[in-house]
Amino acid sequence: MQTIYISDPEWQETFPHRVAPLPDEWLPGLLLRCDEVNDWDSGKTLMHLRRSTKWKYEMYDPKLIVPSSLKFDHLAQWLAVPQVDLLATTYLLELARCYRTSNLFTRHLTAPFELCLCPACLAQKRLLRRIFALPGITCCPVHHLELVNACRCGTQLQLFTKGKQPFTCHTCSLDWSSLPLLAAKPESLALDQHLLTYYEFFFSKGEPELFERALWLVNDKMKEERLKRDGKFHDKRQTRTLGKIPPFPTNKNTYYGRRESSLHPYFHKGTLPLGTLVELLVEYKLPLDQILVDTGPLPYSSDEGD
Amino acid sequence: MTNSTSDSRRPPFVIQKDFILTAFAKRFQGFVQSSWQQRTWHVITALPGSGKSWSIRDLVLHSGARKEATGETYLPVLAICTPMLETEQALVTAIATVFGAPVTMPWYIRRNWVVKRMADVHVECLIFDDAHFLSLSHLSYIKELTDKLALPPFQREVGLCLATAHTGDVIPLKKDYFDRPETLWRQFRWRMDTEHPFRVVPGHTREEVQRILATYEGLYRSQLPDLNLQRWTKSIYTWLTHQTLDPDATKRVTMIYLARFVTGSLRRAYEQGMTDVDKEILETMASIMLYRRDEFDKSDDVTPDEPPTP
Repeated sequence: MQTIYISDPEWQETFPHRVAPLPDEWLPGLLLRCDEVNDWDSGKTLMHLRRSTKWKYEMYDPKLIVPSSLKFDHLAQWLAVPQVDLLATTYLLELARCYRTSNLFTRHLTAPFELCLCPACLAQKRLLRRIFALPGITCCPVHHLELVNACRCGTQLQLFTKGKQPFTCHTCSLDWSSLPLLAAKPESLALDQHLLTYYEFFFSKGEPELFERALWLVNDKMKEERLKRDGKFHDKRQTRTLGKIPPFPTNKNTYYGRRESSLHPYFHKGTLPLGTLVELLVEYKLPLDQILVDTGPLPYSSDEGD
Repeated sequence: MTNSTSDSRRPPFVIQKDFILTAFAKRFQGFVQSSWQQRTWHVITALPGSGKSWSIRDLVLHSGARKEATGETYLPVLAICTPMLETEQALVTAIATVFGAPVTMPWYIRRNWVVKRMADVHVECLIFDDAHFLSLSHLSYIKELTDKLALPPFQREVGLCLATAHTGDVIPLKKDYFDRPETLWRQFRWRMDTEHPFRVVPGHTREEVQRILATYEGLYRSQLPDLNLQRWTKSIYTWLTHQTLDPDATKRVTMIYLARFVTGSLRRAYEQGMTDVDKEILETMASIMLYRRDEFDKSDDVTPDEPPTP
């Protein structure tokens, strides 16, 4: 981020105090830091963005989990930072690649969301980490602390509250950096690390085809578990498709999840959130390299008549 | 030296708008810098067109004002153009705008936000340009603002310069406000500098005019290669201190007249294909400025560049 001198035209276009995204910072945290350095109420920057770009309330995601309708160019101008740096505070680009669409919603990442934060990150850098927005993450990988989702007063934490100071409880005004520091259990840290490996896999390699194969694996595993539970596991009429890894489909319109009833409860408005998929893969201990193995036809192409 | 043959392929005359650090600007900036360093309060006044606004602009540009990458902002000299609306709200908005992109907030919050911002961006000197337009509400708010800055938690004393334009011997603001007996004005007056509360910045002497003409020669050398303005110093000084342009008989030249005289003359010379000005052009320009400046142009002629009227 460059220094702006009063002779630069950008002086009048930028906020009185600017903030630049920190490494691994999450967009709402950046907006709250902007509120704080400029001595504004919590959510003022977001409100200004909303007003100046004439958002309709229902069009924007108030929790900014997947802020696809946010006008990053405006924010980039006010902070005088590259737009790409702001996009890096979200998972928009990664999700767009996973689902091959720019029409993204919260449901592409997570189902219900609750704000979780690390008080030590807040105390040191006023940092809300982007990974804390990922479903299933419960610990801070840097401070090895449990993430906190409620204030000492019992109130559920809320990102933006009009008329309140940024980074404080909207009920008792306690600064989030003063929330309890609870050491994370080793097994929780290990599980988080495991989840993050899966997320990283999808964010770096993610394509709809990979996503679909992962779905197939989960569904196959769920079916196997169900058959074991029902005592039909040795019936070859039931198990003939199990263990067959489908090839990468050529038909872009195929979407395995829609055909399989086992996964239906996990879908939200026709979309399986990435967070849910990752949690299922981890729950059924399905290794990542299995998703990349390409052997055999897709069950619905080979067993179409069954 | 001059070439009278007109060259139709010559590009249009370009007026140089660079700031010239004139003797007036040095004097004016010197007073403001003294106020900045000593944190004293003054009314600094000069004739209209002397170059106060340009001098303030130059001072702010070189004051070290910057928005750093770390989020720190430095604005040691905060210069505000006095709003024509006489309300306190208008003044607060004018101050808030200087910090950067304005953000909507309720009036009662913005009022205090401005005070905190001034402390946060390390304001050390406040300048109000065209301060003769300051109203009672404006001055009351300025007093409150500076008082709040002086108190804990900020504890910041700031210099204050009210830059005004005057005519004759009348110092703006003095009689209307600062000489009044009410407590507010007595308090305001006490805050002003003891020795030099009102400073009058004079225009240019003949020697100073010569130095400015030398600067103009350098600025326009590329368009008029043989330009020699300094040899006309005496004439130019005499014309520009004529009663029409110097009604108070200060015998000082006001910068705006000098700038207009020079650029007007140079443009005429340039458009006639000359490489220097001559006596005839200077006399014509002087005649226009001294005797014909209120004349209406009733000519039906159109210049060749203008499209014919349908």
